[in-house]
Amino acid sequence: MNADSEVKTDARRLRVDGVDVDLGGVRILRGVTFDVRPGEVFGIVGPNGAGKTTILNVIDGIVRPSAGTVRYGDVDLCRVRPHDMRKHGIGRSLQSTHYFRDLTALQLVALGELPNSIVGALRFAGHRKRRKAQAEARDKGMEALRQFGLEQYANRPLSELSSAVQKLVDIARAVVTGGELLLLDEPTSGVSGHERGGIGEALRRLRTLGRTIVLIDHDPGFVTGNCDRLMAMNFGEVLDVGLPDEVMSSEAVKRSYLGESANTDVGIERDL
Amino acid sequence: MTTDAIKDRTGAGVLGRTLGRMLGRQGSGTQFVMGAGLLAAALWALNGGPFLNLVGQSCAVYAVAAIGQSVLIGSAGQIALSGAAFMAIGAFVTGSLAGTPLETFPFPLLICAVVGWLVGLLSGLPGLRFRGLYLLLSSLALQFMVTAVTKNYQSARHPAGLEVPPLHIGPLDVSTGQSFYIVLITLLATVYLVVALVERTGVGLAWRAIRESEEAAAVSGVDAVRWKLYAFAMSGAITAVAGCLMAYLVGRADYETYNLNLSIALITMIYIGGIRSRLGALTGAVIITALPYILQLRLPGWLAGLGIDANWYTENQSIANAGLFNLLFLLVVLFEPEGVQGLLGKAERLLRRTLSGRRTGRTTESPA
Ligand SMILES: Nc1ncnc2c1ncn2[C@@H]1O[C@H](COP(=O)(O)OP(=O)(O)OP(=O)(O)O)[C@@H](O)[C@H]1O
Ligand SMILES: [Mg+2]
Repeated sequence: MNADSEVKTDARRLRVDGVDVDLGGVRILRGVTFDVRPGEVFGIVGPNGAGKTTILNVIDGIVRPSAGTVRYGDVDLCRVRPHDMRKHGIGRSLQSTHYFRDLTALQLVALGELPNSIVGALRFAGHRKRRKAQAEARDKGMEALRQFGLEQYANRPLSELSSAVQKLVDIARAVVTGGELLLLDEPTSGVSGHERGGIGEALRRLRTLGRTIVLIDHDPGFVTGNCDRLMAMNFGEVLDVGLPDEVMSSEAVKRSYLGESANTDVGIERDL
Repeated sequence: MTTDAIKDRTGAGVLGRTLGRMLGRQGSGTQFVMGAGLLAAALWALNGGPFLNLVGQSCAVYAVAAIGQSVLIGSAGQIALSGAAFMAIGAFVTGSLAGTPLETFPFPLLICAVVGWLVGLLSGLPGLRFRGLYLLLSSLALQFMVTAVTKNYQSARHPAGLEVPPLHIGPLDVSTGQSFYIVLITLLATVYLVVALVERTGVGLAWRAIRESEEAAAVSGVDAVRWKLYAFAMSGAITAVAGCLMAYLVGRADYETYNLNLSIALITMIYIGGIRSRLGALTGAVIITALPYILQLRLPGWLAGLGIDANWYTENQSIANAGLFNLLFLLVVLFEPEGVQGLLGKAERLLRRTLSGRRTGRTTESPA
């Protein structure tokens, strides 16, 4: 399936180069460098607080790096505002789905279709065109929900749905916003064992569709089983990048996990 | 209402479907009761004689201000304690237009809206960097700044306050009684509808997304910065319009009216009525505005009936009322964060459950 997607002529590579991030006077990322090839699933693992989410925040424009560059194809992502990422085909799912409670599943997946200017809003509301614009937003949202078998939840508030369903809705939203590159932040966290299957299946389908995916997860089994290449990190630094099995058996990675287990028992269960 | 923003509304059965959906949905009964109650109160005030007209006028003015605050705090989920500052801006703009060619209605109103919009936009700029406590502090700074400026302006030029001429529309004197009340209610309805329309365009949904999480909204493709600034601007414009109307109501602009207590009272209104909706803002505005009148009229009698001396209350009314409102606010935040609307909503849910329980008890069919 990789061969398939690499045939795509407009396929773009994501390059994160020497990224430092300082937040609140603390260095959170230190010289983070990696490439994500078009069509691959790129996994990121690391203990709590390693900086995994921050990497996605940097790619996504939520956090600006204090040094380094992020490029997608020939676009400098550090100059793109978060809500414009969709214009470059980038979508992002969130680690916590507790953000949105009142919104319905359909409203969430259609958020990206909302107008982002007064003129757009007027057109959205305008007499004849409103129907068209709103129906289009709705259709696009329903289509995304249908892809994940979620149409029956369309009009239910997110707070009423189980975490697994919330996660899937959020992935559906990311898929609507990002046609090409998906940044998935722990799609299985808070999801029980047998429900993970559904999320894994969704991932595999996206992969056969040729989407490029950056996948973070706490469950190394899940990541290694679903990614082409893996990056391990700790304390804001990259420990190793390579084939999943190699990375998981590398000395540095073992030490970071074992070191943590020696200091604290908590967290190891979640992380490994 | 914003829920409908992305729903399909083609076809001829819109009315039927809308009605069916309106009655079928939890919350519709609450909205109906609140709407009907407000309408009844409005009509009562219209026909209840000069005193009730006056109470109704205040209620209408504060209701406009409460809608202004609810756009920012309720819909967009921002924190601000500067409602009174925007009302002061409206009142002083109106006062300083007196005697100029622009004193003709509706120029003062429109100019207030524009000035309020611009100051609102400016007041939103700190919100792009700060959240929570810092945003609250910056809104407090605005409140104190406006108080200082209006105070200096007033004491330098018009020690007794800026006089505002009686309201005329064309040749018609509509400055008192029923006619003024009708003007105010019309403007209130207009503001209400404008906000409702704006929220329908999808902006309402964007605000809700921002309210729940700005980052998550941005990640989902919502231009959080832009819509947040619009919320500040729109709230500023509406609240300044309320200040303009307030100036017409009392006939002058006096900086002392627009202090921090008023800002707090405005917040109390939208929380007591129900922070999540404009209907809640209206309800809260009416409750908080009418309550002092009721207390003033009735409380001494009640206290006397209980054998308590009411002198202290009559002598310290404003302090006692402010204390009472703060207490109410605390009680709402602690026990019923959704205010009157939340209470009614609970009652409705209970009623619906009882009714549907009885229905499914009689017939054997059960919803799949
Ligand atoms: N806005 C912020 N200001 C200050 N520190 C932050 C901020 N965001 C994150 N951090 C810190 O940066 C570090 C990395 O956080 P990040 O969320 O990227 O970790 P993570 O690898 O995703 O962890 P988890 O597995 O718990 O999701 C943590 O120590 C966190 O406390
Ligand atoms: Mg994380």
